[in-house]
Amino acid sequence: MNTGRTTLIYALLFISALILFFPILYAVSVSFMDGKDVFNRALLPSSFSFDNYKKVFSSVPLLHYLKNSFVVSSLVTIGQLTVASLAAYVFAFIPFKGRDFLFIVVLATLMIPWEATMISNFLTVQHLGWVNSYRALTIPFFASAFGIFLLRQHFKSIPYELYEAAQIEGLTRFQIFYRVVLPYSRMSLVTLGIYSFLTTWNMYLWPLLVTTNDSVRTIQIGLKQLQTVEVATEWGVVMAGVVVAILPTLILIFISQKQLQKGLTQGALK
Amino acid sequence: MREIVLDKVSKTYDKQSFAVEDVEVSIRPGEFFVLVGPSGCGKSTLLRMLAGLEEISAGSLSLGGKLANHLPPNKREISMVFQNYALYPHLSVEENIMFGLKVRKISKQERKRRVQEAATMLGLSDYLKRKPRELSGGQRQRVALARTVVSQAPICLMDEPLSNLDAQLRGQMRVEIRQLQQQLGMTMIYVTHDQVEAMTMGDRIMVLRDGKVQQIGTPLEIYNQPVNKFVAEFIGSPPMNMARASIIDGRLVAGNELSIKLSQSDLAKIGNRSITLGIRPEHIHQANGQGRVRTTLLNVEILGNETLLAFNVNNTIWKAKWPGQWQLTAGSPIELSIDREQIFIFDEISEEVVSSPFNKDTVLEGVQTL
Repeated sequence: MNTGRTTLIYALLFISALILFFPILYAVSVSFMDGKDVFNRALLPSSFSFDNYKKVFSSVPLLHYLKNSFVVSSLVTIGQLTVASLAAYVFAFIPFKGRDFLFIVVLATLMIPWEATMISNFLTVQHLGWVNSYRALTIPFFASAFGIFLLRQHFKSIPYELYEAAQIEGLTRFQIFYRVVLPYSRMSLVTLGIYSFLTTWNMYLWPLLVTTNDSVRTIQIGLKQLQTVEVATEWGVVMAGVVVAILPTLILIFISQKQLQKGLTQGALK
Repeated sequence: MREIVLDKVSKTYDKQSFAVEDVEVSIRPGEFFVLVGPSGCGKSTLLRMLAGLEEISAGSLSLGGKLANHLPPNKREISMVFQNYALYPHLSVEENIMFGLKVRKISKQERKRRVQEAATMLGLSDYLKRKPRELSGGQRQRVALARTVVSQAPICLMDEPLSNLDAQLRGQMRVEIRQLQQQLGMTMIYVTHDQVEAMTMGDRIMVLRDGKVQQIGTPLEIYNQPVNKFVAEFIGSPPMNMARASIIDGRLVAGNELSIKLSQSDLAKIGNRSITLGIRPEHIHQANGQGRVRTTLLNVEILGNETLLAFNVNNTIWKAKWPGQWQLTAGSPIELSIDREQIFIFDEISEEVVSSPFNKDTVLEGVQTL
């Protein structure tokens, strides 16, 4: 490829990246502005101060929300990985009558929008008395059809010979699962883990429904809180809160990206 | 050491056709037993039934006198080497080798000792800390063999273990596997589609075709006394030359090219069947007045120690193998002679052997007892 073409491609990439990231970059910028700057729709803050950040931590229990979000996301991630990997193992390796039908049923649930089942889910959770507890925020998400599908597809790519070799060595089915299948699929487990952590972190509607006080409320609801606590919304403060909420997910992606790349270059054995 | 006895073992997947049909054989302890046949002949299925990875549809399998049809794989005291070696990519060579020992809760010291021993035996000592992906094909193969060695199972099953290696390495591994088997005295059941492997490695060979046993015997028995056309063509390289032939005036004639005078006893055996003539490439010589073939040379391959001649007989391409180097030109007419004593005659329809050097009592006794 010649240099002119390369330059052009990179220029285009840079511009599209700028457009895509603009909302986030602008949020960061606004988080350092005072009320006047926001009102004048300035692009960059005229003076640089951390006042908004101080304010956001004092006006709402942001750290408490962050902790809640972290606990909920971690629990859901662990739960999803456990349930999905066990189910996927059965669907990929253990034959029984009606297995494929069952798998199709699991897949079919992907087509039912979450919103459609929300009310009945809420009633169930309420009936169980889980409102305002971590249970309500985590347990309903443990079984994920998407996760089962993703892992099953990857488990299917494991050479069947490995499974048979392990059988001959005398491993039980569960031993094969955690000593052969899981280590072999480490990368797709990491992928699914990141995916479920991020989706749970960004969840809004369900946590709003099942929490009525601050005890287990997550960061996303906390942000919404910022808009209504004040009479006139202070956008600088809200954006400071947004930046704080984004930060952990960004860090997670940066760390895991390295891990993902390492996994990709490792490659499987033919 | 335990004898393996198969009695009318069959396998069917759709309850209509057999993948393996009525296999009857007993394999002696310490024997190197080769299952050979073209792809799809059921040899791998048979091996997997022995391993317990595939259910036996009918018949019985007994190991050491005990019925083993429903024994799980790990209770059969076997080890198995797969075509793709089945190494665990996330474990190092050392961990791969002792994987099974760990599961069987063998003491750490014993594990270490056995791994060291196997690694030395197979020349893997320098690679123990590496991951399988950092090894060459031959080294991976050795790791798979080492796994068999440390397991100390009396029976070892191998499913085309050499088919992923290049020709040179294959030749080397053939010898190594054979030596290993003799050194450890284990019973080996070895599946291959390569007749060279079968001939060179096996104590006995079972030739399979479409799930049916064609012949069981030592490599030389199979080579010298094939029971039918299939076995005759499958074993030997280049394969036995075949051509449809007819009897005209007491002579065996194939096309315009070949004409051989037959003895009265042969003629009697043939009667009025339609027949196929078979002759191995090494039994076609320079013209010496006997069993004449007149044809045109199609191709000449000089291999250094021998020369392969290709020519047409009754619209099939035949090959002759001559020792030494022969500078002949393709396209030139040539006259050849066939060893009358070495002719095979097969029934065209049943493919069974009608007359062969063996039942002509001209077998070279000296060769047999070598």
